[in-house]
Amino acid sequence: MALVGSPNVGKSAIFNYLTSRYVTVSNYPGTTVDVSRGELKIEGKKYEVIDTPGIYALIPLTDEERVTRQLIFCEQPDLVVHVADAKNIRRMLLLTLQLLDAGLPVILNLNMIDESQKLGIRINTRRLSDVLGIPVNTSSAVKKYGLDTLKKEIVLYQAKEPVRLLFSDDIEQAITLISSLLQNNYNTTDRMAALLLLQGDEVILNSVSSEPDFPKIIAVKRQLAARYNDNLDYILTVQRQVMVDNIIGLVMNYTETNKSRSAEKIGRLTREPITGIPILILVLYFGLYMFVGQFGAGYLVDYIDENIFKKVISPLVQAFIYQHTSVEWLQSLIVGEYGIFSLGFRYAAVIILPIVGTFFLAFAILEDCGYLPRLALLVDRLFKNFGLNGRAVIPLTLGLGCGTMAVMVTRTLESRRERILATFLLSLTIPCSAQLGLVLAIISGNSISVAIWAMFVGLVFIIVGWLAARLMPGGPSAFYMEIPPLRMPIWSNIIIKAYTRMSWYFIEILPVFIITSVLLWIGDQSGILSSIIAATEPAMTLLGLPKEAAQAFLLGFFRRDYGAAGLYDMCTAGLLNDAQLLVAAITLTLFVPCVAQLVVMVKERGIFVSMIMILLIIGIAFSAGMGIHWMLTLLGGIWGY
Amino acid sequence: MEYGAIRGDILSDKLLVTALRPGDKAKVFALNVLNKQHLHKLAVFGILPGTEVEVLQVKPVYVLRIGHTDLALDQEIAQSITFIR
Repeated sequence: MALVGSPNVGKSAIFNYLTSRYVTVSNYPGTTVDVSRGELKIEGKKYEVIDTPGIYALIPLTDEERVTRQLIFCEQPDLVVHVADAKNIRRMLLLTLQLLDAGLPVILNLNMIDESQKLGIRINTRRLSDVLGIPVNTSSAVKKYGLDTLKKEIVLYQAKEPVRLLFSDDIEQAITLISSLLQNNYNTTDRMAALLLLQGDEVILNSVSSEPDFPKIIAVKRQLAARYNDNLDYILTVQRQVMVDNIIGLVMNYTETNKSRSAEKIGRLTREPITGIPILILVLYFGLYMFVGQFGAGYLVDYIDENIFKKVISPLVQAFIYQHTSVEWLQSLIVGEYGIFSLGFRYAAVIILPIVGTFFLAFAILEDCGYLPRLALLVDRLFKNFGLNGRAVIPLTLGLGCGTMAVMVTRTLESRRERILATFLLSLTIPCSAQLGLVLAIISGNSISVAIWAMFVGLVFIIVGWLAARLMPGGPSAFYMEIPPLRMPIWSNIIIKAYTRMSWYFIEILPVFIITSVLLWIGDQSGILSSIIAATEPAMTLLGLPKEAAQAFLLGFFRRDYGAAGLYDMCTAGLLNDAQLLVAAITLTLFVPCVAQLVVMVKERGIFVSMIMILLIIGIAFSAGMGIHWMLTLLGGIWGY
Repeated sequence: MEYGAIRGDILSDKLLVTALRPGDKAKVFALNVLNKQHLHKLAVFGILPGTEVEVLQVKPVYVLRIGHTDLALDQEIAQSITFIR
């Protein structure tokens, strides 16, 4: 059984309810970029439930939409639950009709029925069910209403011939003719294959070209297209909308109500530039700088490290180890300088986790209230300069939390070019929250340093983004995005979401940190580490850094934040002066992404593109570091560096 | 229903989005059918001939209200719609 529907209608919320599993739910289109599977048991019967990325129509525009169509066609689910936003039923039914043309067994579930009722929309579901010939259910997934009746509909579902809505006679004749000529297997009905062919779908067109009757088929299409000035796709869509409008006329009535004007007003203030940009700055200042930077990276990390870890946990573990083993190498493997516990576990759990946790909490609030699409709209013009459109703001902002997650989310971008540009900018210029927190902790003693760091990294973002967009052929795709209503976030949802992301992050990073500390421990014991450090020493000299900083950069290859954590320790030990800290902070911010992000990059963008990016990143990071080092040396006297 | 009207032959009572101000209401007259991608994007949001649209905002991008959906569009895609008052 598959849950299918437009973006941001609540498929994932319903999935979570049906399967008691958790997948991320939020208030912006495109939260789900991959397929999730779970199990639903009703009255002893087991159903496999599949949550799919949102699709607007069966002809896909982005990668994640392609995933969904592929799934519907190839896996042929026994039941498709079309989840729709009740208040936007007019455009939702377009997809219902397409699913029916594809011969799929469909239940229509009108979700967010509470919102539509508040707006004064009344839908006669029984009549709608009669008109379409399929079961229709209404629900409000977040309010846990109407989902038991959905379960009942699923159990009771019996396939019957749905009512077929017809296009104009000439089109229907062409469909029948083409259907009768098709011999290949298209994993869908011949009618749907014919319709997709008429609409100019490329995948279908490719496979049709191997048909023995291909010339005849194309002749039918040409003949019909000629009658409509070659705008078949448009004509089919318009005719489908006419069918929908006829249905709407039968089943829906609308009485204007006094809707809540305050949410509407705040919604307007956040998207108009005069008020929106100051609000954006406030959101960044309080959400990112104050909450994540000051509270998470400053207060929480200090408190946990000083009062809990160093006072309670660390002495306990050390005592335990010294008590139970006198083997020296084992002691140092666990609690030594590069020990699994004292380095790997401490960095992951004590230094990184509080920062990432506070970021995910702040991000979840922004997601659920529906702020992110407004942010996308505000920055669209700016992003066009970097070959991207406003849509890219979502992966790039998420990158301030975790770059690995963000690279996966670049799937929501339309063209391959945009996905490559966004991945590159993410890997080069966007520091993840752990790194950001640590970098700020290192340089926050000097507010001029913070300002120079921010300006310099911002400048690199602008210059590299601008250049990359000019050097890569093509242009940004047009920006279009649905702006969902601002909603009061539901706190339980936010906490579950932040917690799920935190545990995903922790499970992913803890092994990397532990393996890294073991590798470093081996390197340290065998003396390899010091020779590697010695080998990278000249690079450090070019940057004007002490040779010990080489270690931080090596760590940085395993995880960028890990490298910053190494600098953090050098900083507390007082080994670096302000200028050196600034150079190191800038270079590390730009330096190669962590191993986890690299793996995802290779998976999403391919090994060739990823390697080119890595080489560019190393080059740019070091030249930028050298540049700022020289600049500071030249201007040294002026700012007291 | 009229399907025609491609950019360039805009008559006096037909408008492009650039002629509309926040608060204006207009009906969609036709879409520029030359760009299939744009056409698909607009169609799935119900922007088709005869649809009533309210303009909420024009800068930095256009925000149009279609039924109960607010949709942000940049100039490029918004200009492929022809309106009639």
